[in-house]
Amino acid sequence: MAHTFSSTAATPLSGSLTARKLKLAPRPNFYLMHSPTSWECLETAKGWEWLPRLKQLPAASGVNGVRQTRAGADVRPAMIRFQSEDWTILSQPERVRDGGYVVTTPCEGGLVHHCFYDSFKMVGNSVIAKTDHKAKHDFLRSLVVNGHIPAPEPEILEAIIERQAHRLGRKANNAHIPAVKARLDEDAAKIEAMKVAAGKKPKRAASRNRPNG
Amino acid sequence: MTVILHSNLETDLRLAAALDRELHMLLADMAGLRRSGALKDCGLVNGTGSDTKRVRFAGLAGTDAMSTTAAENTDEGTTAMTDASADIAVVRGSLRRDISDLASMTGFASDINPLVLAQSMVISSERWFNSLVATAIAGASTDVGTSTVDASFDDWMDGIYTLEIASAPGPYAAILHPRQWADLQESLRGETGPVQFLPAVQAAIAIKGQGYVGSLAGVDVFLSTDVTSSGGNRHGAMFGYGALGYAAGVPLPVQGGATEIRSGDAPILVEIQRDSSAATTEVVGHAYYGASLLEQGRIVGFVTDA
Repeated sequence: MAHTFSSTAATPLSGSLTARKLKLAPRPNFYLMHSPTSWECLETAKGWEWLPRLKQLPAASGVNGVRQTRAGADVRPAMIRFQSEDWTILSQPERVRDGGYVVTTPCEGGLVHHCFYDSFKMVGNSVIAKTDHKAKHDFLRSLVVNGHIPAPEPEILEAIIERQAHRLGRKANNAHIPAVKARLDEDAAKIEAMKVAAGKKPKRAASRNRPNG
Repeated sequence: MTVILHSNLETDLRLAAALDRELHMLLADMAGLRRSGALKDCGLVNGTGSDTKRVRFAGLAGTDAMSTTAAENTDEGTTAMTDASADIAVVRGSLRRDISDLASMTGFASDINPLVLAQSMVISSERWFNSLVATAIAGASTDVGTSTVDASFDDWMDGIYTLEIASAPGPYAAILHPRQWADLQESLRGETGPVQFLPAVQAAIAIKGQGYVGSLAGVDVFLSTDVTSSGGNRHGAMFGYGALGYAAGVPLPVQGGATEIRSGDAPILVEIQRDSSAATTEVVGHAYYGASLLEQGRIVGFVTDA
């Protein structure tokens, strides 16, 4: 049989020799988590709405009780502690979003674990981080609508609105200064928007999923 | 006429480039939060039987106030005591540099050699410690600031008020990313009322360590590039003393090891060992630290645009 080269399937080489990795330190994998007191009113494509503020519980040994074990970082003690303080840990990322919410990007020294709505780009020697705000807002909204995060308590929203209202008082004496007046008007408009949005906060879906992701 | 030109002498009689004899350091964050005085030193895990320090809290000394009884002979019921705890898991951080004999011997008087590498381990251990603390503060349950909006002096005052409302005792301190601090200063330029900012002077930096930039409205400000970011935000924090704590471990004297160097300023161990067959010297630094958020009531997240 004559030799042909068709049987030697070549694999196209992906990436280029000069492709640079991100000049960032590696970041460990993480769970997203939410404290029931942590909400903010954001202007989204759907107008002003109350959305949860998420934090990361990283698998970083030595941080907040995460232990260093033979199998790597053990986040369970930290999870228990945060859960005892009523945090919701989204410990099953694939349940709250198809494919999960953590993605990785190669960097010098390993991988940067980050949320799917964040991305990085090297420009010269700098790393530019970008966030797809629409995707982020949609994700945050879905967490409440699908029952992964309990809807906010009205008292929490009132406290945040009240804190925002204090800003008006601090500037009131200088309202004659145009720049201050502009900020006053902006803050006043935001407070109104926060109050309106508090009346139509995201409703939990009828069929509630498991609360912890 | 044949002129002797420098260009003709290269590279037999002249060098294309002469190395500067001074060894400069690359731009790096050399802040040291450990010595800031803002963090609670929860001690060592040495001889405790565990790698984890459990910081215990008991609701005594004012957590529960006495109450007036209905009558002078009312039988008083018992009041349960509140208790809590926070764990600090101490883990190992390490850095290794290998240098060949030829690389050492060809160096200038003040150059890269095993001792210089050993000395630099102290700052490297502080960087690692900073990253532990900066990651821990991102777990604050209450935040001030607005997502993707630059830090402002209003946010700063919100932070102070939040801590005061929670009765968190001072002195207050804040750990911010330099980006947040730059935005905050920009906001300060537009302030119309009196604002007290005491910039750091050399004496204060000597006490509180690199990274201290001053006191704004009574809050000591420390900068660290290790402050985490996500979703377009930086996750700094403002806190009262006792909100954050750290524990450490001190390596015992090494038995049968090679040269051992310790720092009088940091609980780190640097070992210098030879790989004779490869004619290289290995410089290995070890440190053992853990940092945790101890009490949520004493801390508020300062979350602003990245």
